[in-house]
Formats: sequence, structure tokens, C-alpha cells
Amino acid sequence: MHSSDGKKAAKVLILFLIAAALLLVLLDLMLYPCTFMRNDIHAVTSEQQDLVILGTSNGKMDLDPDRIAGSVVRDGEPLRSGHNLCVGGEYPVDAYYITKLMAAENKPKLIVFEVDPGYFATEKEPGNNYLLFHHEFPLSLAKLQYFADAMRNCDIRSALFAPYEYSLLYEIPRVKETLTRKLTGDYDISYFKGKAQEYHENGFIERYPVEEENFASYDGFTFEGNEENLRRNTAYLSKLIAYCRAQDIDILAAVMPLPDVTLDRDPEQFALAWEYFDAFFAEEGVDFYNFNTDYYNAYPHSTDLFADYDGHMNGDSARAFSQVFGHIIR
Amino acid sequence: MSLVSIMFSVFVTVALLLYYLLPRKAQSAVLFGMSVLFYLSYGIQPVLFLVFAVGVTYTAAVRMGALYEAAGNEEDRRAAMASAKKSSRRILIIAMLLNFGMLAFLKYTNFFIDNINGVLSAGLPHLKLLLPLGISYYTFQSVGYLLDVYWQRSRCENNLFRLALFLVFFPYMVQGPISRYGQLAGQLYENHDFDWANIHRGLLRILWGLFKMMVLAEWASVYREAIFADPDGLAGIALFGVLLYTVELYGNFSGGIDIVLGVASMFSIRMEENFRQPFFSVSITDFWQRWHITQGSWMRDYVFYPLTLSGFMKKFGKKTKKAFGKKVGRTIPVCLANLIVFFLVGVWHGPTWGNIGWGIYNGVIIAFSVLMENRYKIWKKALHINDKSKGWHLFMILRTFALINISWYFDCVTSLSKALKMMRYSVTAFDPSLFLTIPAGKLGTDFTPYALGILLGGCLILFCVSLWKERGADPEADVLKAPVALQVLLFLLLLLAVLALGPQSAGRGFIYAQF
Amino acid sequence: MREKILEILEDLIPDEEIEGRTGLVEDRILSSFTILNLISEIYDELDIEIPVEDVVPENFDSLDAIVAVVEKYQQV
Repeated sequence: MHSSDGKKAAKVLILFLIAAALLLVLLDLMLYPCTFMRNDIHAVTSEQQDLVILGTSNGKMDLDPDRIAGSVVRDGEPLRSGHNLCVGGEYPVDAYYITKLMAAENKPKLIVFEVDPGYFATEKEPGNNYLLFHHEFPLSLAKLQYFADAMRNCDIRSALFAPYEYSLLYEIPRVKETLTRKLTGDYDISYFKGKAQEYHENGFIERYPVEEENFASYDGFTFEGNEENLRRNTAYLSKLIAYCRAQDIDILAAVMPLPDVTLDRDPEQFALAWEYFDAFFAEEGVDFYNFNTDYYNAYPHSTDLFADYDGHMNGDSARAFSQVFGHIIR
Repeated sequence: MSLVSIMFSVFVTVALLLYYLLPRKAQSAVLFGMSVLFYLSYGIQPVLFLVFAVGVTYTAAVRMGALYEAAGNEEDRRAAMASAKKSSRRILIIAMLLNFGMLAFLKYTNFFIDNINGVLSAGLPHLKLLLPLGISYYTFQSVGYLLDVYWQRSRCENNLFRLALFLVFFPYMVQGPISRYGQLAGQLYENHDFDWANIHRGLLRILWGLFKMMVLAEWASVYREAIFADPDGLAGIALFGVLLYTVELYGNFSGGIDIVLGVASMFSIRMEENFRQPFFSVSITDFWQRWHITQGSWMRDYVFYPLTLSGFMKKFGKKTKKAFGKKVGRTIPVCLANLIVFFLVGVWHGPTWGNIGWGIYNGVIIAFSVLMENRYKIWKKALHINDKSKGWHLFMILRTFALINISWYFDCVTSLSKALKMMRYSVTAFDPSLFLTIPAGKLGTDFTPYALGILLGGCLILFCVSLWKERGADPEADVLKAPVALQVLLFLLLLLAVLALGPQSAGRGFIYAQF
Repeated sequence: MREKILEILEDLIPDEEIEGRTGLVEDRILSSFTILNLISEIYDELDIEIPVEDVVPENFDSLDAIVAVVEKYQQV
């Protein structure tokens, strides 16, 4: 009796494991949406990008690589191509593993790391913000290392079923479209054109202009009192810098211009942040361009150039700023 | 490493592979090695406390064992045994003081500092004490084992490695259950053949536990937190606040135990059950034999019995018998001991006055019902109530459920005034439509009907399974009798529910990335 | 001895048939409170003291088991 139970149990378990694996792959294909990060990672792994911009939503909306690459010279020639790989929710840990991934596929010549001091003072939430990147990584050593380092404490849902991050928001009507796009390798960017913004082939997101009375509410900026987060995030930035050195990739850091109204709201907090990063990058020996202090006058800070108090620029302003930026970091 | 983390799954898988692929002789070494590794993943410092507990317990037990053995060889065995017991008692007391002292120091020092500060406004700073993982569980197991050796119920373990394995065995570290040396230890050193049926049984139980934890408890927690955060605004559903707390607590705790027991069963090890359909209890006494069973039975065997049968209580009993007559008089010391036990259970749950109040509440109800037992019988007769009837049984279940839910108010509400307010709202206001104003976690109110549907459906499934078990079924064994295709389907559905139906973990940042 | 213990038990749990059955503890017929009352009664009526180390389920699971443990302490 015992052995027949065992045989039956074996049959059930083996069939279950096979069926579960197939089902999970299929559901992932059908339910996990095609994000623009899928395009971004595809762009930097399938083609050589001389310039890659890493950072947060401010970098995503303020820096158009096409307006920067041409004026920047490395190894005696101007950079030919560039991609903006910033996104809201990208922390130094993500930037570090994205760089590892790129170094193994198509190594960039220059990395611009856009610093948003607010990120350094906060803790990255587990789960979805890792999957946003991890899910798009092609199978690689970097993918495994990223998983082992960042995702091991996430719960099993994140590991086995990435669409869980959209729990109850599963886009059932779009299943066919999602599946087709993934299976045919469709990276068409027209899907990403929204009412407020537009994604471009080079990763740059163009924000449409917003009148100040329609700006989203803003909570202010706090930097101090988060030493543990600061330590953890900065440690990954140090690792990123060391890795770039070892891989012979040039890296520089920059803080995007913020509106004067924003800077004037919490001047002490910003002063602390600038002081911290000045010291950090000086010690690391990395060029640091802060457009709110040393390079304050390089680009205006009037509210009409921005789409919100967080300092995301509107498209025209971003293009103009990118031109200036390219010129300065030459 | 939480029970639901990816790391834990990977860890268990690796441990299982080593356990069954290496020669069978190595099985207990694999368990020991993996348990140490598991514990080390929490840092070095917690390991030091564990080593201390193992060292104290081992040394004390071996010395007591040696005393008894020597006495057994004496000519006047009886006198020698009595004197060995006397010497053992000293060893036992020292070992218990060291074990409990460590636990009490780590767990209660800051509580006392708070209270001293509160009374004297002394402004003493908190000590930076972190409670090492599982310290309550291994302390209780250590002390239980020491008492068993002292009472000569258990042979003392002369092999340090074997005793250590009993105390570090990794599955119980996170949530219990508290095991007895006699029940568990032997299984840890035996060699086990690989049996698919054990894996089947274990996996089914783990999936069920995950469902209870990640779907039921998580959704219940979303709505419970909202109700507790705004008791005035949501007065009309205050009643549901505490009911949801029941779902959350039971789902989380018993689900975790399901995972632990499922993991153990994959290693062909059977651990004691910790829950037995607690919400079918007909009295608070019954509830405590069905809820956190291993703690209850530990308290019964190692605190309640020894306390009641102690010399002091016997003397006290003689006096009460004289004063109140035989029947009531002999019950009073038992009730007093019972109150002390529940006070301790409350204290163990966490050093807050709420927990202590909760413990005493349980103790008082039980003591009261014991003292009133005969009176109840007379009343029932007078009212022509047939206490064997189904209706009466159902009434008792509902009454007990209500008493339990009232007790949670102490446990989960931060202040007494808030608890009383919520109790008042529970009976004075009723407007379930208020649920629709609570967002489904990060998803907003549009999703509330779905979330409530999942929650309700899950509770219904939980109820059916409980009813099935209450009628004597063993679901894990019964499922194996079903056709293969049906079983595979059941496993798949459970897995999908666990993965796809829980509340979202993080904010909408991700959603925005998609436009 | 046996009759006396049976008498005490019948007094403590009047509604249950005790003679000849086992599983008194396992089937929750004897609660921990009743066991303690039983020990107290045995002490009062028979002057026999059952120490705590012998208060284990096996010793109270049937009338025979209870009689056996009582007799053990009667001899000493």
C-alpha cells in the first residue's frame, strides 16, 4: 500500500511541477505588461550605446541623449549613440546591475549618473521596483547576481510570478496584444504615447507642458535623519563607480536643475544634500555637475520650464537643457 | 528569512536534496548543518544566545542524569534516589534561572524601563536589545526537557550533538510549534527513506499555509488596519474590525504552522499539531486545547500541574476546603493556579498591559466557568435545555467565538478607551456599505468589491476545510486518494491563488512606469 | 481500592461511562481540572499522594491506569 501511495504521489508531483512551470511561463507572457523598461533594456543590450544615462525620473525627463552625445568627445571622437535608461524607482543598486549587464553585452563609453538626493535618503521597496528591471534582463550572470543580491528577501510571488505586482490589475483584455508583442519581438514605441508624455526611441521621455496651477502637489524635501538608507544607497554607488573603473567605462554624476520655488522651500535640507554629494564625489574622484550650486547659472530655474515642483522639465526645456549639458560635460 | 521568502524556499529545497541524496547516515548531520546555517543567516550574536542555552541545558541534564544513575546503583535505592532528586533540584533551578533569565532580560528589560520612566519620570534610556530569533521557542523546549529529566520522564541525552539538534532544528525557529523531547528528538536522529507521499503531503500543506497567510491574512489585514485607524469614521463596521483580526491572526499563525509542519513532513518528520479547528470550540477551556496547542500543553504540564500540586497550594487547598466546603474548596486552588498560568501566557505574548489583561481575561472566564459548573447544570435543568442537542452545541460555539473576539480587543487595540469605544460601536452601529469606502490597499476603492470577494470566498473555503477536518477527515491523506488529474488541478489552483490573488506589495510607481 | 476510585470518578464526571473504557484523556473526558480534582480526592479519601511527575496522560487514560498509578504510591 505504501509504495502505491508513493507512486501516485510521485505522478501527481511531477505532473504538477511540469504544469506549473508551463503555466507560470505562459501567464508571465500574457499578463506581465510590456513596459518601456523592456524597450530600454532591449536598446542597450541589442545595440552599442556610447552614452548611457542612469538615474531617476528627473534624468528620464530632462536628458535627451541625442542632444548630448554629439558634443561629447571620448577617446578622441564624439559619442555616436546614446540611450536614457533612467526611470522613477531606479536606485543605485539597480544602476549597478544594469551596468554589469551592459558591460557583458555592449559596453558604453560614458555613463552619466543622475543624482536625485531624495532617493538616497529612502529605502527601496521590495518586490516590484526590482522586477521592473529584473524581469527585462536577458538570462545572464548579471541577472542571477541581481536576483541573489536584491530579490532574495522578496516573497515567493515576486520570484515565481512577476505579474503579481499588478495583482487585480491584470489587463485581461490586452492579453492577446501583450502576447503578440512579446512573441514577435515588437518594440514599437507608439504604445507609450500618453496624454501627458511621450516616450522616444532613445529612452528620453518628453513631458508635455503643464501650467503651474495644474502642478501636482509637492511634499517637500528631507535629507537628514536617514543615515542607514544613505549608507546603503551610497555603498552601491561606490560599487558602481569601482566597477566602471575596472571595466574602463567613464562615469560622471550630475544633479538636474530644480525650480527656484522648490529650492527655496527647504534650503537647509538641500544644503546638507549638496554638501554630502560634493564630499562623496570628491573622495571618489568622479566629476560632479550640480546645476543647483556650482553650475546654477548654466540653466535657468524659472517655474515655466518645469512640469511640476519635483523639477521634471517639459519637453522643450529638456531639449534646451540637454544641449547645454552636453556642452558642459564635453 | 521569513517563511514566505524566496530564500526560504531555496533553502528548504537545497536541504531536502542533501538530506535524501547523501547517504542516509548523514541525514541528522545535514539537518544540524542546515539548521546552524539557517540560524547564522541572522548574524553571529543570536547564535551566541543559542549556544548558551544549549550549553546550560546539556550540562544540567547530564549532571542530573549522572546523579540518578549513581543513585540507581546504590543499595538503599529509595533513599539514594530521594537524595539524588534533591541535588538535581538545585541543578534544575539554576538551569531554569539561566534559561528564563536570558529570555526575560532580553524581552522585558525595556518594558520595565518604560514603566519605571512612566512612574518616576526617570528618563532612563532603552537598552539596545534585539530579541534573537526563536528564543522563546528554544527556551521553552529546553526547560521542558530539563523538567522531564528531573522528573525522570525522559532519559538524559549524553550526546551533545543530538541535544543541540533538538534545540536548533530550523523549521520551528520562526513560529514554533514547541516540541517535546520525547516526541521529536528520536525522529531527528532516525534515518528516513525517501517517500514521495511525504513530499506530496508536505507540499499540499505548505501551499495551504501560504494561501492562509498571503491571501486571507494579508487582505484581512488591509481592512482591519483601516478600521482600527479610523474607528469613529468607520463605526458602522467596527464589528468587522475584530472579526477581520480573527481571520488575520488565525490565517497568519496557523498558516505559518502549516508551512512549518509541511516542511518537516517533507523531511519525514512529524511535528505536533498546533491548531485543531479552534473556532469550533464550545468553551474557552476547549479553545485553549485547540489554539496554540503546544504552548497550552506546555503550560499545563510544566506550570499548571506542578503549581497546583505544590506544597504551598496543597496547604492553601486545605484551608479553602474548610472555608467553602469540599467541592468549591478543592477547585479554588486550581482556579488560582490557572489564573497564574494565563497571566504568564499573557506576559509571554509580549510585555504590554494589553497582553496581560488579555491573559487574565481568559483565566477569569475559565475559572468562573469551573466554579459555576454545578450551578449551570441546575439552571439548564430548570430551563429544560438539552445540552446534547445540536442547537445548544451551536449556541456554545457562537458564544465562545464571541468571547474570543472580545478578548482580541485587549490584544490588538492600543488603548483601553479605544477598545471600549470599538466594542460599543460594534453593537450600536451597523453599516456594511462603509467597506466600499476603504481602498483595496494601494489599488483604490474600485477594487474593494474584488478584494472583499476574495476574502469572503477564502474564508468560506477555510470554513469548509475546517468543518471537514472537524468531522475527522485528514485532508492531506484524503486528497491523495483522488484521481491524479484532479489532484494536479487542485495543486495548480492553490498555487495560482497564492501567487495571483494577494494584495499588491508596493505602491503605484511601477504602474506609472507603464503609463 | 478500585471501587473507591470508580466512585470518586463517577462523582466527578457523572454523565460518562468509565468502567472498561480507555482514552479518557485523549477523548477529553478528563480535563486537566478534573485530573487535579481527582488527585485531590484520592489524597483526601485514600491518603495517597500522586506526585507531579506521574501526572501524564498515560496514567489517567483508563480506570486501570489510574488504579495502577495509585497502587504504585500505596506500596511506598
